[in-house]
Amino acid sequence: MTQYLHFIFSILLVFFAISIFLTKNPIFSVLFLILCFIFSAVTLLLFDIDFLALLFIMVYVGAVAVLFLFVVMMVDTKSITKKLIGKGISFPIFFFIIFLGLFFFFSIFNFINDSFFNIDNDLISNSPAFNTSTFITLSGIELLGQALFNYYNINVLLAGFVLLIALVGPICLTLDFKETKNLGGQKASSRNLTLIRYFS
Amino acid sequence: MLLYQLSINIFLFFIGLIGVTFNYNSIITCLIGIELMLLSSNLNFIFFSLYLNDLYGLVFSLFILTIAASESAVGLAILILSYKIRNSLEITENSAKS
Repeated sequence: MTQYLHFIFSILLVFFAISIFLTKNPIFSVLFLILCFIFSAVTLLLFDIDFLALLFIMVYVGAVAVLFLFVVMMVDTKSITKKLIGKGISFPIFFFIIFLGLFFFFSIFNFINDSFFNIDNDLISNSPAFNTSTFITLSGIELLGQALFNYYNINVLLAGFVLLIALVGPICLTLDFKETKNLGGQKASSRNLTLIRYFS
Repeated sequence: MLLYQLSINIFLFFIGLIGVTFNYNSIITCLIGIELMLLSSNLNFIFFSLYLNDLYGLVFSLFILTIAASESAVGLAILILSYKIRNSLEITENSAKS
């Protein structure tokens, strides 16, 4: 039962991923991207990774895709309809890109097929640095939390720093320092005046 | 079953890559393609960690999630900035001059 569900969901995932780039309207391509995220989360749920699947839906659909939808609807859609698809690409370059993609696909496929399915399972399950059998009494979120805050605490701090840069960077990019005095024709209240004084 | 899922992930990655190379004229399609490639690499980490019985991939997928979210935020800010300056979202050969 699970195998058939997995088959159907992954076929649908690839279908939606192809149709992202085939639609003309960018709003529909963002909606297909949301469908891709949801179906990948369902694929994770079929393998009993429940916490990461819910986190995928929360972060990807709730934050990233909604941000994309917001930007696409804010910018007017007539200027971004894709009327230039493949215009700058000549005919041999088209086949060269397709050939390169297929070559990389089959080389990676062969690599996985050779090096991961012809060795003993005992050798693999004994070797890695983090074996799940050391955390066998814990489960799910608890296991991830133990590994994150015991062994990867510096990485968590660095990820927080990356998020801080992603918070400050768009503010610094979209704030124009010259036109803060007018503030879009609003009448300047005392609160705005202090803001102007702060920024200029 | 795992080989099937891994080939699906690699296929997803190359759909994203080919989409980026063919639609390089519009910025927003390029960003969507990059997001799709990050999703497929994230899935690859998770399924290899399942197969190898290893926690490292599950932990690392959280960090890739962080990178993907921050990348989309900064990229969309740059997109809005270029729309404000040039009033269009197309990348052409003349767009570097204006």
